[in-house]
Amino acid sequence: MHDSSTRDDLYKSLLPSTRTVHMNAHDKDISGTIDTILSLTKNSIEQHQQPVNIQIKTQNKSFMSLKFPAHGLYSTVAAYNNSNRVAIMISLLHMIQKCITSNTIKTNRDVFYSNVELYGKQVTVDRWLNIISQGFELTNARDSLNVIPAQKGLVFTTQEIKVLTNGIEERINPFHSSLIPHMKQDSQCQILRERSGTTRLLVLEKEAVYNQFVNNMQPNSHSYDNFIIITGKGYPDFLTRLFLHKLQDSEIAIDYWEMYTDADPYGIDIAMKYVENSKEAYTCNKLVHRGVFLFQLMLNHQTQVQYLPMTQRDTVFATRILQRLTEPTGSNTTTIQELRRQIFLQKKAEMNVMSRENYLEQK
Amino acid sequence: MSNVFISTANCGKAHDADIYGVSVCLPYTVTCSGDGTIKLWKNKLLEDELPKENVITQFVHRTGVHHVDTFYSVETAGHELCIVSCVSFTGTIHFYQVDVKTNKIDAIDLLPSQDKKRSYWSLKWFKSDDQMVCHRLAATDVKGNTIVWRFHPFEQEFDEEMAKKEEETRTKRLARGQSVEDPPANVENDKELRLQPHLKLHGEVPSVDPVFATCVGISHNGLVATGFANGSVVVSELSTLRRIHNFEGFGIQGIEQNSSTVRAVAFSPLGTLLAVASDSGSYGCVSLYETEYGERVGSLTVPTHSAQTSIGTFAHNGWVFGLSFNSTGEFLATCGYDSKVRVWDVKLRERVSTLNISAGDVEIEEDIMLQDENGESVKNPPVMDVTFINKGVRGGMGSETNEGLCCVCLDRSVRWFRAAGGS
Repeated sequence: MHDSSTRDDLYKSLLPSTRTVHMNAHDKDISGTIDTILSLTKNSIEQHQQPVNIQIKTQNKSFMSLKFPAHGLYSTVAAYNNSNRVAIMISLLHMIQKCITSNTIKTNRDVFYSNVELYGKQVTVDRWLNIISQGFELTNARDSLNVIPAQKGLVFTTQEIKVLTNGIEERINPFHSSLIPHMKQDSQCQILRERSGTTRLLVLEKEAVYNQFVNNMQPNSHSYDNFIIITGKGYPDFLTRLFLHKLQDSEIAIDYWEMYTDADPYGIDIAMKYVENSKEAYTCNKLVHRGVFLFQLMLNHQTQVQYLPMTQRDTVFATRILQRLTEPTGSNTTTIQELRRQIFLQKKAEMNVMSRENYLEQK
Repeated sequence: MSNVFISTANCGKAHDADIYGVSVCLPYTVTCSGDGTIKLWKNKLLEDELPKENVITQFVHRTGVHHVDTFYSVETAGHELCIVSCVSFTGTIHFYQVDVKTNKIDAIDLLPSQDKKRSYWSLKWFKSDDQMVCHRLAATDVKGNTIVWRFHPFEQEFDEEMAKKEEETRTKRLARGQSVEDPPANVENDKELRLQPHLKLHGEVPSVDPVFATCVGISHNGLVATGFANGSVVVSELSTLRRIHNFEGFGIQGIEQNSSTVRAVAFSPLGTLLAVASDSGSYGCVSLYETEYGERVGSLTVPTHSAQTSIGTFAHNGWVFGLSFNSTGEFLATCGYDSKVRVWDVKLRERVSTLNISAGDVEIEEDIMLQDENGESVKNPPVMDVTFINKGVRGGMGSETNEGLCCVCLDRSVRWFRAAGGS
C-alpha cells in the first residue's frame, strides 16, 4: 500500500496475474484449436490457480474478453452475468469439439435443449455460436462447426431431387412435403427427370398457401406441369436460400422461377431476401417476383378481396426499403413499382386471398 | 358546354414508371412519376408539334415522385411566377421555379428550415385572387397533420392580419360617416420590389390520431379539407386553422367494404361544395358535402347490376383516384381504377359523359404500352389523376373557347381532351 501513491496504482497492484487465452484465426483443425483453448483454461484454473482471460476477436477487429473468475473494478456487479457467459462459451466449445471428433451434426435447437437452464433462450445459443465462428474467423461457419440451424424451409416436388453432400446422397421423394435437407456450400443438387413437360418452381412466402398447393397435387393426375414448390415460412433461412441457389445449377433446367409473397412491404422485403445477399451462395438470381401485387388482386373482381390499411409502421418500413432498392445498384423494377403502389394506395393484402387456380394461371 | 370530349393530344410512354399525378397551369401540364422525374409539357402546341418534343424533364429524386402541384401567377409589376412543387417518396417537398420565356427550370428552396424535418405526403397551392389575402401552400404529412404556409413572392412580406385590421377600421369609420384617408396606396411601389419567393409558416391543423393524411384541398372561401386513410375528412378554417367539420367514414371493420380510404378531395370553385372520393371495398365512391353547415348532400352513382354491390353506391367500378371541378363549378371530373374518366353534372348529380381509356388509342404506335414489365395487362389502364383545363390554356383545335380535360394513366400515358362544339 505504501508503494501505491494513487488509487489507480493500488488498484493495479492488487490485480491478480492472469493468463490470457487468445481465440483467433485457427489452423486447419478446429477440434485441435478448441482442445488447446479448453486445456489451457483448465490448467490455468486447476493447477496454477490463475484467473483466465479469454480474448475473442469480434467482427470489428476489437477484442472481447471473458474473465473467470470475475475480477477487477465493479467485478461483483458483473460477476453473475460474466460467469454465465464463460460457462456458455466453454460449454459450447466443448459441444462443438465433441461433434467434430465424433463426426456428428447437431442443430442449434438440439444444443439449446441439451442445457436449457444455462442457455435460457434459443437466441443465446445462436448469438454465441456466431461469436465463436467470428472468433475463429470461419468463412462458412455453418459447415465447419458441425452445429447447424434447424431446418425451416419445406419443399414439395413432383420429380425426385438428389442432393449430394461429401459423397453422401440424400433424396427428396416426390409427392411428399419434406424439410429441405441439410446441405453444404459444396453440395450438389440434381433434379431427376421422370416425366416430360415444363418445370415450374414456386417459392411461396406462406406455409398455408404452400399446404393448399401440396394437398391438391396427386401423383396420378397428368393435367399439370412439373412442380417444385418451396416455402421459407416467412423470412427464409440460409438453408432454403442455399437450396435454391444450388437448384440453379441443376442439369435439368427449371423453366419458370416464380416467387409469391404477401402484397405488403414485408412481402417485398422477403422477396428481396431471396434475390439479394452479400454472399453469392445464398442468392437466387433466376427467381422472379411475380406477385401477389395489389393490382393483380383488383383485376379479379369476382372474388371479393379484403384490402388492409397500411399502418404508420408499414409506411415507414416501405419507404426505407424503397430508398434502399432505388440506389443506383438496384434493379428489380417490378418490385420497386409494387412498393411504390403500396405506399401510394396505402393498402396491403394477404397472399392467401388469391386462389390456387389464380396462381397457376400466372405464368 | 357540351358533354362530349374529344381527344386532342396524347403521349404514350411519357414516363419510365407509373405516373401518379398531373397538374395544369397556364404554360405547362406537369406530370410526376415513380421514375423520379417531373415533366413539364408545353400547353400551347402548334398543330404539327408533338408533346414529346416539347417537354422539360427535371429529375427530382430516385425514389419517385407522387404528388405535384403548380402555382402560376402574374404578381405586382408584371412579375411572372411559375412554381412547380412536388413530393417525393422520401417525404420531401421539392420546389422548382420555371422561367416561362426561356423554359429554364431551377430548384429553389422555399420552405423554412424548421419545416423540412417532417415527412410530407400531399400538397396543394392556393392562388388568391384577393389582394388582401396571401397565396398559400398546404401540405399533409404522414402523421396526419396539415401544415399551411403563406406564400410571399417578394422580399417584403405582406402582413395579412394587419391589412385586415386596417380594412376593418376603415369600413367602420366609413359606416360612422367619418372621413377616411385613402389607404397608403402601394407604398411598396416606391421601393424597388425584390422578387424573392418564400414561404412563411401560417400554422398547422394537428391530427387527433396518427392516421395517414392522403390528400388536401383549399377553397376560395377560406377552408382547408384534409382526407385521411381511415375514411374521415376534416374541414378547417383557413385563417384560424380550427376544425369546423368532421366527416366520418363508415368505418365498418371486417367486411370487404371496410376499406374506405379517402383518395382525393376537391372544393368547388366557390368553396360551397366539397367532393370526396373514397374507397368502398374495391369500388370507388364520390360524395358531395355542403361546406357551410357540413351537410352531406349526396353522392355520385352509376346504376349497377352487380350482385355483389347490393349495398352502397358507386361512381366507379374501382377506386377513384382523382377529382376535379371545372372553372364554373358546374361539372366534376372523376377518374379511377376502372380506366374511365367520368364527367358529372354537379347540380343534377348525373353522369353526363364517360371517357373510356384504352392503351391502344395512343397516337404513336411504338409508344403504346399493352403490358408492364411483369406481363400484367394495361390494355385498360387505370386512370391515376384527372384535371380540368380552363379555356384558352391549351393551344389550337378549339381549345381557346372550350374547356378541356387532362388525365394520366397507368400505361404511362398523358392524354388531353377538349369539350366538343362551340359554346
